[in-house]
Amino acid sequence: MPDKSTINLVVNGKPYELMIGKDIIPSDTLAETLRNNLGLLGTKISCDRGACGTCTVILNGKAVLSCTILTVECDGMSVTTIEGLEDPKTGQLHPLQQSFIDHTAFQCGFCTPGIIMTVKDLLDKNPKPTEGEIKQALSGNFCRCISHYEVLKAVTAVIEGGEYGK
Amino acid sequence: MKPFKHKDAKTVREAVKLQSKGKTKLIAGGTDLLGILKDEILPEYPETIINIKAIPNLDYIKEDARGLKIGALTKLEDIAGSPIVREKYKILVEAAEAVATPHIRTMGTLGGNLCQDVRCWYYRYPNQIGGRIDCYLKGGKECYALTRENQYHSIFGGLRFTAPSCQSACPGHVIIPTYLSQIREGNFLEAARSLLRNNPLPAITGRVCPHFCEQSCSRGNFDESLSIRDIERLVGDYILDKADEIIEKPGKSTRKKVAIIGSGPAGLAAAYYLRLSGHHVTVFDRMEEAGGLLRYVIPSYRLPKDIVRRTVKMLENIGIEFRLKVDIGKDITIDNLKKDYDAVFIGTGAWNPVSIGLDGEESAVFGLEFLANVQKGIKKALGKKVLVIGGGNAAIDVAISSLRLGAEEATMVCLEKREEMPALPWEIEQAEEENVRIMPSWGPHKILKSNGKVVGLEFIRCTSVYDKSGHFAPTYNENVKTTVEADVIVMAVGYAADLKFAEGVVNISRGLIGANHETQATNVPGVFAGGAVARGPATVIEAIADGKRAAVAIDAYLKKAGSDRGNAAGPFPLLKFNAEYYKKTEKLKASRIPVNQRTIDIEDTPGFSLNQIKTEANRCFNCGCVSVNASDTGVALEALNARVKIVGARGTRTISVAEFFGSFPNALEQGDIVTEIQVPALRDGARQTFVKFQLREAIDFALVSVASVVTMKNGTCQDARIVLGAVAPRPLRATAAEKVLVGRALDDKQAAAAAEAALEDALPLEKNSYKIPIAREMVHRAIVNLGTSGK
Repeated sequence: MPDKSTINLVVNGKPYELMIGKDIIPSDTLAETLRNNLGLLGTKISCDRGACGTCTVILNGKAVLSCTILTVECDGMSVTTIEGLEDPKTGQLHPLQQSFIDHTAFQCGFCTPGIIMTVKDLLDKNPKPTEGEIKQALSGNFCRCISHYEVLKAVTAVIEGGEYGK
Repeated sequence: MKPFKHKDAKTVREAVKLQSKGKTKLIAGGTDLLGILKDEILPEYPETIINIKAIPNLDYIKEDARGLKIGALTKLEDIAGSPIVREKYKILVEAAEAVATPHIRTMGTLGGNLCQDVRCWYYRYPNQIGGRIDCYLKGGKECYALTRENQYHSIFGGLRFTAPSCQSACPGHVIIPTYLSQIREGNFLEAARSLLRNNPLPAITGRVCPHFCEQSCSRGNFDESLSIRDIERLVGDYILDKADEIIEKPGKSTRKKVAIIGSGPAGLAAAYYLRLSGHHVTVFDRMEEAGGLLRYVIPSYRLPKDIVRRTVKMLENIGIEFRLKVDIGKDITIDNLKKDYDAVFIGTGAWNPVSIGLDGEESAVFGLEFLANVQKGIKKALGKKVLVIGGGNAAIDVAISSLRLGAEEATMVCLEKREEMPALPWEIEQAEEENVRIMPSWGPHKILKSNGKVVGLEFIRCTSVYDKSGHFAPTYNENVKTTVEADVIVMAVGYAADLKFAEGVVNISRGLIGANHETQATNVPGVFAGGAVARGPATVIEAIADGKRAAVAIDAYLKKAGSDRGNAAGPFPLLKFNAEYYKKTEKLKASRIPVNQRTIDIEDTPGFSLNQIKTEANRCFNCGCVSVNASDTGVALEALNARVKIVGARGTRTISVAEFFGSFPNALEQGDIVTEIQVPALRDGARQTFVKFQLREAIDFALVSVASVVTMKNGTCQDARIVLGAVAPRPLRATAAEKVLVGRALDDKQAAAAAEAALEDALPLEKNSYKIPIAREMVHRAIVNLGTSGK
């Protein structure tokens, strides 16, 4: 049986067909494909070893590290990146994004997309997490600018504001 | 990442099949593997990555009366979230939750966590401390952690998975670090037996072997290599003193007869191992005494003949029959031997001169004959001015012997440049010390005679000895000449085997008997050959190795059994070393008696005392890998006495977690896949705890972890399993601590006693003794915790 020659991905609701050998090679990571093939530069690559969380995306409903997943292993899967959070029609930001802005929950901003995707995954499953649960969920997202305190405020505000899921 | 091919395995069987050919790696969660590939850690980059995530039905948690079964592809997150696991096997939840970060736990599998690659920074970051380093584990020469930064490494010794560099360098594969560690433990008897397993003539090799092992000793990169020679010599002498106690009795008689032709090192070694296997062994030799070149060529000042005689006696005492003064080919034909014996080993050596094509060469004396005559009692120099042609050890033996027997001058002339001379450096040094004149880069041109008597030899400049491909093809400059006066010329340029007795019986090619390199078998079934007769000029240890290989093959041939001897690897023991191994020390250096006291008969080097040898043995690193186990869940699973189901090319097997980590880094062989983890149901009254001490709360390995399961009845501990993580190359059962607890209440006092016992055997490296009090406190807390948890 021949190995598959194309990979079908739905990214932020949009279908993509990637040819193995032409668009991608088997050693490409999902983070590389998102950035290099699809131009979705919101997903960052920092440590590239699964340790820092900046590359976090939601794959089939779970927050995962896109630097540590091979694109060839994502055939038929659905990916949400930071670019997929805003309203595609109006361009309105997702409440989490807005709250991060409102609380200045970042400094350089490099880690922010990963943090937001991790929180999005958490709130999708557990809309009213405790502070401990938020911290636990974010324990794999590193921030060198120490934005953690503002991040907690931004996330808590979204939960308390009941804006989430609107 | 460097490119690779990628294949999805649809079934376990397909994954096994795909994995068994070419350079492959399995990918499950990928959280460990992709980093390994990106950093190009592995000595060989895989050509194909086999994805096993697509295999159905390997992601499950099932419970029955016997316990829990977890599919190897079950995600750590799902284990931590499973109500059954949370209720009954909480340390597995705690261990799973201790792994890295939530993201990793979402992706990583239980099987993957168990199979995590080695945890050591020299292993993990080979390109980040100045050039590529390949540690011992990757086929390199040394374990960098032994002598460099080792804060996070083992505090219970190392593990060895393959031969250390000294053993690999030894043609006889003597397991040197093992007998050295037995010397350190004061167990001389076992040390002697370990040595005898690969070398039955250590008193001899301890004196004459060039000891390639020392040149490969890892300690050589640190300060100076060990003097393995001197240790071997002392153990060898001890064996001769106590042979009756040390040597195992021969096995039950097989009623098979083996003839050994030649009693040099190859023949003696073959005879020894064959006799131990229970065969009747007869050694034939044409000389008056046994020992071959050991008895008749090597000068007594290097190898006292008493040592050779006692070695032969030791072999006679285990029932080997020696038939001396029997010349095979004259007194008995090899065909007759083939009829009368079930197998024949030929180890006749190389005793004939080689012609160099010099006019009048027949007037020269053959070096070997001179040395043999000295051994036969003709202790007389051949002349006043002795000229030796040759640059090897035999030439040196001739030159030194001549001087010691009263020659006024001894000159050694050889084609090779000084640094190319085949003699060992310390032998050349000794020759010069004793006033042997050494003239390298000269080729013999013309023997000078006066009144029919030799008066000297004219030489021409030798400009090179070997051609570009390394073949012997000397070139000369005839315009550059020199003359050496001499009244006798001795040829020590090479030796040829006398093969007349074997002609028409076995295949002979290029003056040697053709023998298989692995079995020493000739083309004739039942006839084997080794040593110089089959390999050309050889060291004693190479001949011994041939003899042992032949013995193994002959044994298999006689028993008509397959050669599959089955490696009973079992759990490898942790390797101990002297606690202060890392302090710079000097090598024990053998000294010779003063030049003016040296004679033709008395041994030049007196040897060392037992204490000196023990000190030297203390210097051995006992090279292994001192990494620590990476897996958090492995520690909990060993405490839970779990089993691992493995499917491989040879079928399915289920082994305990202890056995899984018993081989290094784990028991998986090429093609194997972990498919299931089985956790036995806990008994009534079971209590469990898992604690992990780490520097950062997330994405960190353990500095120390402790998992423990105890069974309590009426406030008393009935049974305890305590396992320490990150303190040794594998999860480590603290059996001494377990013994302290059984039959007692788990109070603070017992917890302290158990903690003390758990760390009693700790053997820290230079920079990680701080881990000991941490580990002790962790065990203490774990047990207090078990004592107070009501459940």
